[in-house]
Amino acid sequence: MKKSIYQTWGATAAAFAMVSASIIAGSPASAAAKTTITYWTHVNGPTNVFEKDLIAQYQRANPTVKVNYLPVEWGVLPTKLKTSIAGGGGPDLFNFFGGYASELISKKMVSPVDFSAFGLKNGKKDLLKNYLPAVVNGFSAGTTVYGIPHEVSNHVYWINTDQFAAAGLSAADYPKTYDDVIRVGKILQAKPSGGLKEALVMPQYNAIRETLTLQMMARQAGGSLFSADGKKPQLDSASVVRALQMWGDLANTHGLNQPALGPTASNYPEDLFGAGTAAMNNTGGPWVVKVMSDTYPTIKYKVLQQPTFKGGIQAGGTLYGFGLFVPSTSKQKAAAWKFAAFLQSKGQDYFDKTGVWLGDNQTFKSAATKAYPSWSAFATNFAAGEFLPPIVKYSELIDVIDRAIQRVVLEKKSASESLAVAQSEALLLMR
Amino acid sequence: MIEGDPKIMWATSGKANVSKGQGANIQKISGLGSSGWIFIFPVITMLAIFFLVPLAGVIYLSLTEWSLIGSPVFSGFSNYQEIFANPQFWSAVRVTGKLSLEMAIPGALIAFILAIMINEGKKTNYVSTVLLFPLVFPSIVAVFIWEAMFKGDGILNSFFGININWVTSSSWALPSLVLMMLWTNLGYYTIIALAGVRDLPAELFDAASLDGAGYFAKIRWITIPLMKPILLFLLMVGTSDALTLFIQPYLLTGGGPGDSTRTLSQLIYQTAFMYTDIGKASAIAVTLLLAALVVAGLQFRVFSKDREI
Repeated sequence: MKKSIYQTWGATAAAFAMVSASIIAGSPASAAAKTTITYWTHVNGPTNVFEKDLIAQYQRANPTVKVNYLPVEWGVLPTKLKTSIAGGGGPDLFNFFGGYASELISKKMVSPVDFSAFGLKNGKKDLLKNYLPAVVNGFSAGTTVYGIPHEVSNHVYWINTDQFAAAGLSAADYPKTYDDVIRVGKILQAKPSGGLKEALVMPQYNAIRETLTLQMMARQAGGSLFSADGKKPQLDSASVVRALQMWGDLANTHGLNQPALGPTASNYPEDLFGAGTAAMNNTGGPWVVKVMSDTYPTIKYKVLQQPTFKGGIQAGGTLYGFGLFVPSTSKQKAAAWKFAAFLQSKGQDYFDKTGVWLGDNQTFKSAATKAYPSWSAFATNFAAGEFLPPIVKYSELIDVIDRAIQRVVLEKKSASESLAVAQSEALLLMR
Repeated sequence: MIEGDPKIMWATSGKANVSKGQGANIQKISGLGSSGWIFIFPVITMLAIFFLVPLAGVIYLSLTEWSLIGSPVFSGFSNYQEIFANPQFWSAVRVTGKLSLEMAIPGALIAFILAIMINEGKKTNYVSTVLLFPLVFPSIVAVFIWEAMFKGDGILNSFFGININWVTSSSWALPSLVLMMLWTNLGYYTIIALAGVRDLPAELFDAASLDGAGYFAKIRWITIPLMKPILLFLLMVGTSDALTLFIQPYLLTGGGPGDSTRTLSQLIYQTAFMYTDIGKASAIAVTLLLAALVVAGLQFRVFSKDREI
């Protein structure tokens, strides 16, 4: 009896082994080992859809490569990314806000760019022929470049033309100064015209956007949040105080901005603008056009230059960028840079399909780009705008600025008092 | 009983009794046989792995500079010096302290009152179910619900015809958070209190009634003294919940406006994972642990007197 049981089990095991071997031998996947790259980026509906198509194209052209794609909500991406890299894991390639570049480089979290993947024999010199110098320098430490620019954008001024018309405002009333904003804002909110709760939505619960906005306003007032080399804070300077006081006045003195209406941790200013809660919005560049057409197709808007202080300069919006980085912990660096080079070669397609400009000169100057809705307004703003200087303790400093803004806008403190506190916090961080 | 048997002497006197000249024998001193040690060994191992080792690790890291990449570099007490000099740390201490008082004490009191009322009422199962309902919601869902209620044009302002900036005003943000946490936890506290109330010996109340004691006299002289251990437990749980509160302030207010709702737990998370400064984050964590131990010790001291009837 025992002998026959062993014989049965033995025969079964042998048959199983033979079947398994034949399946494995016949599998196409076994013919060549697959390289898997993980690519993380931030959530942006139209861009995420487009990149999935690009990935499918890349995988067809490179059958031994598999790309795992993960868009992550912006609010959690910085923390998720840094902790996963620190833990030895994380993606092989990630698209990340350029403001963090100095911080990532100083903490040795990212690898230098493999220029051979991009066909750039002369490294940074060749890169500078394709992109704005300010952008490339923002991703560099000295002569070493750690990130490839993957999106350059700006903040322009959006107005809802239907709501303006309903309030009896014409094109001549479109605001050019903050005084104009206050005047038209009150008209937009006045009850007889059907009264908006909020004339102007400002960034909130988003330290990055708040910093970009305050920097823009400070430049309009003739100053800057930081010195040109990014090593000294200037948060209590007269221009920054004037900028933040205006922000606070728009909310508290004139009631044009209602922080209680949002944005919250789960939506953005363009959502309140698109939904008609507010008639004016000062965030977002060309990529917002696609977001509006996809999510809020009925809205009619116009893109204007940022309002200025009376007698002040037109300093444009604060430019910002995203870059493609390869973490120092990646085990697929070469494959990751090769994929990054593929993405970068699709600049015009990115712009046409999503409104995202990768920062390359070729796309900026092309006829197709010039035909983009409101492009002349964006281009004028790009020409006048500037990037924030590179800042090493970026995460901590934008939180300092965020708290300073909240003290004024939400707690109704004076800008000079709030910024004095912020300056002392920043000095401790930047010593 | 065998005279001089260490096991028996331990059991009767509660003290170790080691003969002179004899080496200390842990088994004999403690009164535990080898089988006793075998039974508690898994628990001690779990305690060591999941509590003692991480605790030692955090204490060590609090004395180092480390940004998660590379190795920690010993830096002595510099992290403690920096956090104690940071106004944001003291703001978080104040917020956490306020939360502890405003969550634990009202939570325990309201739970106690509700437990007495439910015990004397009818349809107690239905009431208990309704009270436990908030516990069914995941924290994130509860935050989204309350976020909608707290919005400027949200349910609370619209229904009551008021215009309060619940989470965008530093005066209201912390009370709003406390309100949300009481809603979340009250059911749990009440069920525990109810179990305690139901366990009270009925004969004491009968005897008190025979002696002419009124309703409030019975509560004052019987219910409250006998419920002291339960109240202590509720206070400790409430305080512990407040000291470790993270998800709700993180999602609802982000710690703002300003720092008005930024708890120590949030500050630890922010310092460790947003600023990748593990040394400082560990120093804050160790400080929080010491504070929690002090508070627990005080609570035990206040409530440790024998029950008197």
